[in-house]
Amino acid sequence: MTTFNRRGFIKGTAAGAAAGLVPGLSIAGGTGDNDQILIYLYLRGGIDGLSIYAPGDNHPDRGFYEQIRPSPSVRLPVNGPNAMVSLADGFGMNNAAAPLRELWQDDDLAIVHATGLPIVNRSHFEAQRFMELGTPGATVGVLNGGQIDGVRTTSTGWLTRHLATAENLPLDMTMPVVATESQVPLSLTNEPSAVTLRSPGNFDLDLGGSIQELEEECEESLLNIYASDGTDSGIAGEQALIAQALVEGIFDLSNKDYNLAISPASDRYPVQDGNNNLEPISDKLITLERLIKADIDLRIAQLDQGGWDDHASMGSLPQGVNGSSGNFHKRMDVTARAVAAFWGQMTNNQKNKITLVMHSEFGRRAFNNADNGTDHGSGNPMLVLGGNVNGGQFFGDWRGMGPDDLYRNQDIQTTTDFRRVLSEILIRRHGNNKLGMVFPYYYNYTPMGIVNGTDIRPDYSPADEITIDGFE
Amino acid sequence: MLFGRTRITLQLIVLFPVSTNQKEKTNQCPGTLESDMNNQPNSRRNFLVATGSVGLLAAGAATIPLTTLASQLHQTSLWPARVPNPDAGRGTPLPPLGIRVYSKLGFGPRPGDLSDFNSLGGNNGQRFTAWLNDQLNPGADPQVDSRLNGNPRYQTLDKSLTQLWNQHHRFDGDDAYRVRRRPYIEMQNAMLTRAVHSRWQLREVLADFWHNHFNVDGSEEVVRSVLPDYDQNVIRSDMFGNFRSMLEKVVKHAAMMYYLDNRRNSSPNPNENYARELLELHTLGAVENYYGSIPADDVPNNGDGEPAGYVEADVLEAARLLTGFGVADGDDGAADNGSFLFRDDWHDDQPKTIMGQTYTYPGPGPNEEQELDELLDYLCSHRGTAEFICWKLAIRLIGDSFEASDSFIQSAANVFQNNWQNPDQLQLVYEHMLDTGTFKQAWGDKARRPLEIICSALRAADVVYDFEPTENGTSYNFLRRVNDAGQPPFNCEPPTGYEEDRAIWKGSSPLIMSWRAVSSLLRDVDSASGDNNYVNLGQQTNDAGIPMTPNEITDFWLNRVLGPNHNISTAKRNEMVAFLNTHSGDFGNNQAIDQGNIDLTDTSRNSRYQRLMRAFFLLVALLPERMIR
Repeated sequence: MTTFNRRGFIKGTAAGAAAGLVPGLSIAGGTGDNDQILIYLYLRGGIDGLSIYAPGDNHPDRGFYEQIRPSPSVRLPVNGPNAMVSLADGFGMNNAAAPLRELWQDDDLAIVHATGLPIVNRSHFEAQRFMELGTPGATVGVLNGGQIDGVRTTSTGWLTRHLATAENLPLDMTMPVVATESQVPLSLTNEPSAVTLRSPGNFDLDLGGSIQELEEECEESLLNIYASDGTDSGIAGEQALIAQALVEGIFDLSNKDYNLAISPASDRYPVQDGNNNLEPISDKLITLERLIKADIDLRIAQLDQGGWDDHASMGSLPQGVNGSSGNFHKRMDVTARAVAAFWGQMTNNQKNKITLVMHSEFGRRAFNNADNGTDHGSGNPMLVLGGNVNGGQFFGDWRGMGPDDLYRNQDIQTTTDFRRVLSEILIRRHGNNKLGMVFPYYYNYTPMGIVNGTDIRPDYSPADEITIDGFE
Repeated sequence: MLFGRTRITLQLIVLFPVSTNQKEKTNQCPGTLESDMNNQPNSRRNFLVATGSVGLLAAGAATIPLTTLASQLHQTSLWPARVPNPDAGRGTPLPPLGIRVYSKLGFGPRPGDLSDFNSLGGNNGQRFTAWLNDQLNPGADPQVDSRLNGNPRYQTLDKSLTQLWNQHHRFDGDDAYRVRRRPYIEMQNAMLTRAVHSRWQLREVLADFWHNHFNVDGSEEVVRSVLPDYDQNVIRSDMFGNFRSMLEKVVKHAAMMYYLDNRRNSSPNPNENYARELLELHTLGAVENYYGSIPADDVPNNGDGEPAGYVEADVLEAARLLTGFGVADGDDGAADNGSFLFRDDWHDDQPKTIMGQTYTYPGPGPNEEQELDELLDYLCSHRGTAEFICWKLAIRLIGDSFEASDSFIQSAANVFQNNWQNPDQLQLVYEHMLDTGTFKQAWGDKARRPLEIICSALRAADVVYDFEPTENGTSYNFLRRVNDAGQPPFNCEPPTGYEEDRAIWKGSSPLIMSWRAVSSLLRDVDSASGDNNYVNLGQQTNDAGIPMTPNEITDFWLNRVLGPNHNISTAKRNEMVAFLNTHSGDFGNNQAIDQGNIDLTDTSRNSRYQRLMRAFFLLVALLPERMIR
């Protein structure tokens, strides 16, 4: 555990109080030593999985794919300068994602075909809630082929409940939970230890002028004011100010362009066109890189990347090629390079702790629409990256793209409940088998072998009682 | 299958025993923190797991409403440093009604607003009724008009849609990016101007509500250029009027047509984007009324004998109905002026069935928009829309913990539905919801979001700033600082608009970055005149005519910002006094300021005195009590 010599903790209070305050952000429930880091990268808007990878030349579905993607701007070509790069099983990847394919070739990246909700839902609002709250309902194990509806509004997310039930975390951790966002992600709803950190280089009160002392005293007084307040608002502010102090210790706030500085013109992380600003996804990953290197006991991180709702002019190929807008291609390129750059910065030891999941609320319609875009669909891949990932291979079922293979003749058929993938990571990497708490009403888990680790029999309680008494 | 009949509602249940070992935290001195930490139950699992308290129940068994659960989880899920004091509730003791009104139906009180409110009647009921009647009928607005009207920095707010289209969206000269975007930048500045300066605070809150309900992202192409027309002639023109009227203008406006793609929606391969959001976000809502992929026949009927909600197939049919409703954008032989255009040859002329109603295209001519008229009539008179809109108003204006089934929402929905064709429908709904005990007694259930934190602090500081763009229509630095707080005006990318739920906003980033924005805007806001480019808190303190001691200064500012009957704890007040005392030799030991050390007459922007008062003001303006509403 790294400690930070924050004047606010030391100045004017007993030294022991510093030790008391820092765990204000930490998890004090466990006695274990699990050191795994889960990074949940959410691609908002519903990414078109068929523009990440698709059947290649020798794949039996290639003909169907070309039929239902008549627009060449949203179809991955098998040859030419923008030809897909081959993966396995006859599939090939968008050339914009080539940096991810390198991770695949290093056996660090795996792809799970056709994941999704147990009950198809094409609303962004609802699908994101069902996934991030971890409460999508169930169709398996319910009497008479009925279904159990998901919960749309509840006050904890799946990651909140994972943290609430993990028994193997250390007693003291400095800053275990971070979202690199302006808002609290749904998956961390009401997680009190979650720090939201979008602009670490600007994370202070900025009183200006040369008297830094005044700013720090002001922050310290605010901390004392919030610490004296027993309300929800008081606690949230206290934690914000503790986080502020820690971030100020980790990020050198005298260098406001810190995140940019770590990525000099080397192009390691992508920057935006035309100026030297980092792409948001790069900025966020650099923040995580920095936090991991600072050794502040990071365990859970979420970052978002939006903009994938490509109803019109999706542009899976580079701008101008086959009439493509290049919108998707550029976003994919930026994402792939940023993730690969982040990965390249991790030591082997760090890689072995990290599992990074790329997830989106749904896939898009297999057919393109008249606007060279795609409407909302269902089945979609999850990409799993990690030092303990059994990479370089696909997992899960690919039902195919023929008319009888698609869901309602429209979408890639969902074959793997997204909870199965996340549960395997929780059990095998994080040692938490409390699936009944994390994913209520999910109780047909079996591992797929995506990651290494020890299997533990899932604990479905309290749902167990219900299934035993009422439904099975 | 009859999923609708056999569906089981899953609820997360937390049965949390009333804890007796949580320590009272309010009013404790900071020095006792360590022992508190040690005395806490040492495991969050003690709250969530070991008590066996998280469980699942199926409908039919005993269930607890989610709102109750939410409040219980609020008590149990803050882990592990501190658990909220269950007696403290979510907020604090009820502040005076004037504070509540200006905090919920405005962007916070300015000094003077509370005494003005209190002079409106002999009791709170009279005062509030008078205030509400006044605010529901906005009149002259000198503080805003003097800043926006005739100001050369604001060039686009009154332009017509055609002017905005031609002069901005289609502008192709030098600096095209800036010119095309200028209307959006002006709108962001105008939003701050109105929120901070307008006498008609309820109007500004409602404008913000409807802009978020019918969200468009001002940073996108076309939207950035036509946003002022959307604001003036779609949102503001109708937000005290009729919902159906506003909705039709939304559907047909270039901003929405581009943002959600309906301008491209054509037969035979419809673009579903707008049709889905029309149902899911603009009218019926998804939370209560979207039944997913079940057969339409399985949707239960509501009390009006109509289908209670919609299914996936209805979305696809609505998309077909909306084919051909587009924009005159020069495409396909059309004029190029941004106005609404129905394209017969893009329209699907076969019958459509949506929620059991069949819509038939009468053919080109005077009745060619008939299907849209009928659909909007249906949706706007539907019970689900009435409930959804009233629920959204309640969670914005009153508190987060409402459900559509609450009698309060049902009662408002009756007014909404019964008056769906009344030109004053929305005014009646506002009145019905607000002049109630439910509104007047509500406090602390909502978190102030970044814009609300920033604007309320600026109002408390009585700022006289001119928020405006630079000469060439770009943003001054202050706007970037506001936007960095996480809620940039007119710049929410997803069509939901900014979230309401406090759980989304109570993280460290919204708080620290909003506080940072407050701090820097007190210090520095550029404008054309260069006058009044900082808040002179030193002068405001000097003008109080009080002995310049830490106690007197603290009480002056607490009373000025929170009202004379404020309920700020002794511990907090002591911390403020101590902050001033820290500068001993300046204010030491509650002695009057040593003027040899600190020059009270120097109230320039960065004088020692000014900086001290700025830091001190933050302690008052950023109190936990002021982060909720």
